[in-house]
Amino acid sequence: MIKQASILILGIFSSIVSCQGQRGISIDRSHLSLARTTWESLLESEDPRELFRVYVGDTLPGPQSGIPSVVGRWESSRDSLHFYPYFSFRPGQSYILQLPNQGSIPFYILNEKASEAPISLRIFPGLDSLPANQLKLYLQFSSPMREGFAYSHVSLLEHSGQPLESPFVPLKPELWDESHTRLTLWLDPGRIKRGLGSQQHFGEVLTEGQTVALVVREGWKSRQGKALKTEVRKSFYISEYDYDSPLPETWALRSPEAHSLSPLILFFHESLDYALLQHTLTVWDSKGNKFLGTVSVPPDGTSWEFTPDSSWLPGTYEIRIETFLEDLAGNNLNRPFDLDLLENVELSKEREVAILTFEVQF
Amino acid sequence: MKRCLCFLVVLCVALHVETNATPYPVKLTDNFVLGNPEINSLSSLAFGPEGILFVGDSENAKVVAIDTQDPASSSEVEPFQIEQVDHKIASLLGTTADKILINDMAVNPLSKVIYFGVHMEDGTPVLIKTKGDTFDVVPLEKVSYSQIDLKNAVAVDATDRRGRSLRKWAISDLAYHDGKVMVSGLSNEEFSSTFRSIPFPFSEKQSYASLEIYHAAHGRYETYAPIKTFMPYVLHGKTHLVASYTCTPLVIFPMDEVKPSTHTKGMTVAELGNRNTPLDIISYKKGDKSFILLANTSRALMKIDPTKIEAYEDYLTEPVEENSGTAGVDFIALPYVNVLQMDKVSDSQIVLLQRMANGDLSLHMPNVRRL
Repeated sequence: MIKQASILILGIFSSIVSCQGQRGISIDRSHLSLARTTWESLLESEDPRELFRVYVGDTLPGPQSGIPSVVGRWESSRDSLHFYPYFSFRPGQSYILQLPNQGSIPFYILNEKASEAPISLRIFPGLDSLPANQLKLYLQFSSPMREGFAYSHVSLLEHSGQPLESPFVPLKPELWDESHTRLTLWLDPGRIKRGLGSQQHFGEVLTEGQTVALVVREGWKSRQGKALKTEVRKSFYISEYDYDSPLPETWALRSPEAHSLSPLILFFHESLDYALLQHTLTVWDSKGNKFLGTVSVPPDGTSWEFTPDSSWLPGTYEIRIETFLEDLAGNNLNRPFDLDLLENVELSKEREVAILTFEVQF
Repeated sequence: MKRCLCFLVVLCVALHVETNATPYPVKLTDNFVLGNPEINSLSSLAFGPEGILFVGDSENAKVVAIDTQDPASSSEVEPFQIEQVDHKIASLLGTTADKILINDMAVNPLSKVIYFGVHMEDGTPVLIKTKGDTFDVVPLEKVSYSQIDLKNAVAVDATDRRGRSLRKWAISDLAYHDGKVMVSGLSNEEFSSTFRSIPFPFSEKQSYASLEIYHAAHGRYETYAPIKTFMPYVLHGKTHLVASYTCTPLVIFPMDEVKPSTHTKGMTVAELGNRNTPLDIISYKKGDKSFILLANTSRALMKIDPTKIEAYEDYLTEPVEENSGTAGVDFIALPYVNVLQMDKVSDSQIVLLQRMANGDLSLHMPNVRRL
């Protein structure tokens, strides 16, 4: 066997086919034992796509299988023929070149990206206890992951180890963030919302007082083909329901010192949504300019820390909080997850932004 | 006394809808440009008139209209069956079936060519179409297209958005109806959704309403109502949305009563069994009669007579007793399970993408007379 840059061509064939990396292959006339005139007349008379074909796998598909050859572009020259697949050859994949004489040449694309770091996974919220009407869970991977495998790799187990039946809403498309590293899992809202048929007929997903474990099975692959090596498990104790909206007026605030880069810290007295906390709070100075800085949120979502890029100047500042910020049960700043209309006959006008002010003293 | 389980659809329109001052082009594709629409994801597909394919690109938060330029075909096509669909598409792309994801399927009503939105394992989006009894890649580097950005639309939705972040919506479904592209979006963070009805042809100056939909159970507990899948459908002479929410299997609400800051009553029309929700909704004709067809997560294909929905005044009320019980408008379970995608080929022909008992992914046209 001869190993070339990123392609492995078996035995004697290595002199016939050469690699163009994942971009394509070249076929050398002289090694196909064809006279130049035969080669030229062959390529003049017929489309190379009809003479040569590349298939996935290490054996040619049967003539009646209907399996198509790899789509790509052929280019010919006096002594060689080049094939460029429309999509790069896939690392770790076997292919086979079908020759005009019904012969074939297998080749294999080496997996050069095997050095990708092991996949790690964190589960949010980073808490030991969740409310019985917990609405969503986040899986934060260290690498962009393949889509379409979420609901076959994730389950929620009772204390006995028995899986809860269909705890998540299977969504298409799966809800990944822009980096494709964070997946949102919705616990079935039809079984959380009070008064709906699903909840009344099939029961709530979580029961107060029980312990459940979220299990993410090994084998889930990244977009580069690296698998999650070991199962990841996180247990939660299920505590009481939370039907109340977060109240910014009750939050505690630690003001920073003037002429320092010390952080501004908000304490919520409860856990808020980890993902939403990353971008729903912003700081503004008294002239209406956005104050730039870095946000830090602990895994339990109980506080929010803002470290400015430039020193605090004495004066009044605003923290603007987008009202779609939610707690763990989906209660946002404007309305609880399932608003009881009998108790709240008329909603006050919904705010887009809630504002907290603070002073940076001289 | 039975209590009505009525759904309240509250539509908050943040911005007055402005109509485009310029006259509409004669052809829908007149303002299309030639080039690469730079699509990053093929989340959802739907066809409009003139062979125009609408692509929902969740990654880029935009909708792209592509002129397929498919030639017109006859109104009826010969029934066919293609086996090993996932293997064949994967082979074409130089990979294996376990490394592709078929997100959506749509039939061009003009040409009867079937299009698939496919993602490769590294997330590369590929538009595939049928070519006889096999498949072909549709190159997107140079196509005639127009597009509309949903992110910008969020920015113009309110009068004061200073400091507000742009929210990312995964496009869960889209459809063309009566000059408008309707798009439903799910958030990957808050329990909310957006529903947009965008006039087509798209225009750069065009703005449009973003609707936030709520519903109430027993007239009491009200939540937002994110839409998973929907179909515009005319009931009682009015366009309705037949939709599946993330929390409720099947609801309908009239579109023409949707006005800024108004409350519109909608209703649930069926519960479809234990932890089962529709994956896809289409309509078809059997003779002169129309039916609604539902593909489901954990049940067989279901057929619903829309006249029964029209006649349905007793909104779904009491819980069904048995664990896998169903309720509401009657439906007929058809002997087709594991239907992953479906679409109309013509008014009286449909095509299914179905995982068969032997594991094979089959594309086939069932005989509508047997449905």
